Amino acid sequence: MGNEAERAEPAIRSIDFHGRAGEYFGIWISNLFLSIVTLGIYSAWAKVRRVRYFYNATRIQGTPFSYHATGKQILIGRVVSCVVIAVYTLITTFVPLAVLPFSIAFAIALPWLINRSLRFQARMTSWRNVRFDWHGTYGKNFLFFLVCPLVAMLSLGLLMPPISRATYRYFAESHAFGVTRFRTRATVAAYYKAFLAALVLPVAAAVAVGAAVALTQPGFAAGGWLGLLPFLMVPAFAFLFMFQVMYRVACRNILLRSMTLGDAVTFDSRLGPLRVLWIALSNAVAILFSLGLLVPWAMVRTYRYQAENTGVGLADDAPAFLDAQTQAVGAFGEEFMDLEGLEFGI
Amino acid sequence: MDAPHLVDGRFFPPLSSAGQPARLRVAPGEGAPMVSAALADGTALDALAVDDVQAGDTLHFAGGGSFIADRPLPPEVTALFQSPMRRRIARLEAFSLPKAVLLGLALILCVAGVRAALPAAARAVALAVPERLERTIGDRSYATLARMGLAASEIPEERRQTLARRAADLAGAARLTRRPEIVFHRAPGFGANAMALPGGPIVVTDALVELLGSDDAVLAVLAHEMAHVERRHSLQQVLAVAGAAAMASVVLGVDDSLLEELSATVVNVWSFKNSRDFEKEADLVGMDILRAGGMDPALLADAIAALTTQACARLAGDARARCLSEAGAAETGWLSTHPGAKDRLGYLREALGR
Ligand SMILES: [Zn+2]
Repeated sequence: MGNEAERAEPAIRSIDFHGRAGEYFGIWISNLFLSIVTLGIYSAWAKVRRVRYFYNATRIQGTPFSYHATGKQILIGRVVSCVVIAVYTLITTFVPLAVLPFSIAFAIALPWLINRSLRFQARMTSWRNVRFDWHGTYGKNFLFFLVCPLVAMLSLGLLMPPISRATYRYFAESHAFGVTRFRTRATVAAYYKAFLAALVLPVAAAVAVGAAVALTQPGFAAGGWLGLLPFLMVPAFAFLFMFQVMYRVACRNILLRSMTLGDAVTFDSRLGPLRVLWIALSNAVAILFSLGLLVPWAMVRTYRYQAENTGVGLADDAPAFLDAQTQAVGAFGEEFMDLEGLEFGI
Repeated sequence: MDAPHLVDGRFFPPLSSAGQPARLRVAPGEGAPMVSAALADGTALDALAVDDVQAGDTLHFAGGGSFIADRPLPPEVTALFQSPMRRRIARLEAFSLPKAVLLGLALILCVAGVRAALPAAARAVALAVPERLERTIGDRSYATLARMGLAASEIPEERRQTLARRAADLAGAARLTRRPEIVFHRAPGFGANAMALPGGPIVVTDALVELLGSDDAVLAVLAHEMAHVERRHSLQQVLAVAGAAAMASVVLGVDDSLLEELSATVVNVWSFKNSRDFEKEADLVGMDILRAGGMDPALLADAIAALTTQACARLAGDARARCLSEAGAAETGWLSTHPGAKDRLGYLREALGR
């Protein structure tokens, strides 16, 4: 980041989101109602409505995002995946052992599915008349989405920071706005720092809970804790969840802060890990106690927090850069199907 | 005819983000509104076809160009580009508290109604699903099964032909609308099994034929399977699962994998109850088929009893008694995908008594 001195720091403005929970509630409940009445067929159009609502309410420089997928396209994609799921369900009820070969076949197909899904998602999104694009490959998807998580797990998390860096980088740099790819330049050190920072709170909480249990229930320390192992699973999962949320937030911040588009556009992300944790937990509680009626409110609230804390900076020459953006011919997604159930995001 | 609307904004040609000031003219017409644009550089564009209007100010044209208005478009202009159906849905979507309460109540009723009427609803939709799609699912399933270990049958060809011919005669006598093909395979991993794939073929394993011994007993099981195909049970099952899953995905959005897991469990429980009803129906219809073909409907009950006895033969005492009533639930084969023998033999005998 050495060119800050010679260039004026571009003014960063946060992304504009003017969605409202009440407004989205109307769409959400209508979607639900029509989907149920049509036995799920309308759900393809419901998806278009949902995504469009959020995209259209999101503006950068006053220009909204558009979503171009049609209900028909998504319905076709869903019919195709329904046939696959139907075959799977039928065969595994007849022959339960078939789960194994199916899982292997699924793992082999997964990188391809991810490619189709991400490309569809990107190409169906536009801003200023230019569509986004995805340039991932089968091999790299296999490496980053299947092998890497496994390696990170086997290394007990020690290799997680470099792996996260490579994965997030691949994800961002395989995306393009028109024909211009995004670029990132975060260091491994930044990811290690985020990793350690995300560990602090869960570890402290774990130690505190452990100490409290040991003090109040002396029997535990003497070896009686084995029988209570199932009860320890709950806090263990809670700590893991805490770590996961906070680490992902930190990774998103690192990625976006180091991301550029051409020489003219920079990005910023200032999500607070604790704040995100609070939003996730309070959303879950609100949804549970409202019997699901607060789902739209929770979605709008989460989205708004993310938008408000994500910034886009445009350098002085940005208007010229943006005007010069073109889209490769043939990047229209008409021939691509949506593959449901596979949504990736940062 | 209404006066045309004039809208100022920026026009973006296809594939480009370089916009220039333009004035759009939207003239309401008989069918689609007539849209033309006058660009700042003097170019005039006529007969622009509008794909859709988004965010209340962005028009996307067929072929890739777009126009972003300086100010939000008046609602009457946006409405010009909506289909009547979309306009109706938009009215439904507009938020108001009474409407929200009403829709919420309707929703609860719907969920309860669908929960109660799902089998009937799935049946209604199954009738609307083209046979071709059903056959596609069946053919794909058969191809996948074949790859997974269906070998050539070792039952003498003569006997296989006799069985297939007699099954076809049964279907004819019972006036079935679907006449599934009967295919025999040696399939060690599948146990003594018969599988009715959607829209056809019925796969019978050699083990089942050997275990049942008599052709009449095999035909009784085939009658049950033909009933599954005739009533399109597999398809209904799939539809019920897909419908419930689609609902769940809309309710929960897409982000919450935990809730998705939960809904999958609910869907499974749901479809399991469904499948018991289907089996009962297949048993009863199967007996009707046997009767129509001049065979003894008791053959089906006998076949189930024979399969159960065989499956439990290795056990002794209490375990054996339990096995006989639960039909060896862990076993791979026909019995493992069907309800316990106690229930089934109960209602079968009852049906025979009448
Ligand atoms: Zn059956």
